[in-house]
Amino acid sequence: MIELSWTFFFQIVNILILYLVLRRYLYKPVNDFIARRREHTEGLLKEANESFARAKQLQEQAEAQLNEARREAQALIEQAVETGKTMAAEIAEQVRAEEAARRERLEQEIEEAKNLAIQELRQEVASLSVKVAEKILEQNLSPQAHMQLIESVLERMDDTYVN
Amino acid sequence: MEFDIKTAFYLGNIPITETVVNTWIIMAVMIAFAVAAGRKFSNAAPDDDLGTFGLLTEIVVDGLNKMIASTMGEKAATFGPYIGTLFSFLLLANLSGLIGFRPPTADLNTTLAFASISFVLIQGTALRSKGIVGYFKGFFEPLWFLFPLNVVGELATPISLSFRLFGNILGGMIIMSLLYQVVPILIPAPLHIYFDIFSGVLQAFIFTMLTMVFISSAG
Repeated sequence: MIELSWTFFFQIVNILILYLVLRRYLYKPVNDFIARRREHTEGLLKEANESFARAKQLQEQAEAQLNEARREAQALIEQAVETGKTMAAEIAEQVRAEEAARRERLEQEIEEAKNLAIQELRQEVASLSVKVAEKILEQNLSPQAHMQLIESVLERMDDTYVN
Repeated sequence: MEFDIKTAFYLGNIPITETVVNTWIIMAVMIAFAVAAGRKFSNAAPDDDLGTFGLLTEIVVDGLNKMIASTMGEKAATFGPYIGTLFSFLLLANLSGLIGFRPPTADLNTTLAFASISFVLIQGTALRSKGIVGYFKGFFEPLWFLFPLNVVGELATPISLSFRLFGNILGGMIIMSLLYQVVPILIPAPLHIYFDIFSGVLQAFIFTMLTMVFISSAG
């Protein structure tokens, strides 16, 4: 039952053959496949992580841009309101200024017309007075007395008509 | 004796025993499985569906790889396939008693052959890592006169490995045979669980585990 025989050598050869066959046809392909798949999985995982990071970054960028846009829009609205107010004030001011200028011009024209009328009236009255006086006195006054008389008449007329 | 190893046939004048024939049958099954399974993996893309058979193969190979890696560390890549082959063969050989085979491991020639390969691997690893001088110096440590004891210690490894496996399997086989002669039905069934399944798996595991540990500690 316990004796060494040829079987010893057969079994050494057998296990070595089995080892070589299994290594070539089982372990190598399976281990290669496991390594290949691990690499593949790690690649996918890395890719997924990168995609996630990129998506997060993009989201942050979009949010930042949105906030910026909101801020800009708010600023634009405020600016527009401000501009509108300024414009309204300017227009009102302009209208007021034009109105004032027109009134002044009108007043000036009225004043001028009045002065002209007074002037004409004064001349008319002067010559009329002279004629009236000549007629009344039937004599020529000395030019000095003549002028004195006219002035006194005119002063009285001023008091009566102008004021 | 009934437990003697029968000679199946003669190759010239070399006797081919029952052990060798049974070994060839187990080898044929393993090689058929290996080739069938391995072919699925050779050209498979990383995300291919390998089917149930492929998945089971991967679980077995990966499981063996992990077990070997946890014991041998970085040496697993070198010795992995041999250790895996050894364990798978011992497992099937020990379990072959269940289908009425005379287990090849119930023959000292088989266990001593495997233990000799383990011995060569252990000594080879030691020689490679310590160098020739360091290797032989190791036999005279810690004191020179311990040299004979060191030599015996090294030689004891394959002997204890081979006799442990051989004795357990042969013992189980003998007990089961005797039991069949006394009570041929019912009683032997649960005892197969112990003597063939439990003891067979355990002994296959012990043999491979010790081989791994000795190779690791030799490096």
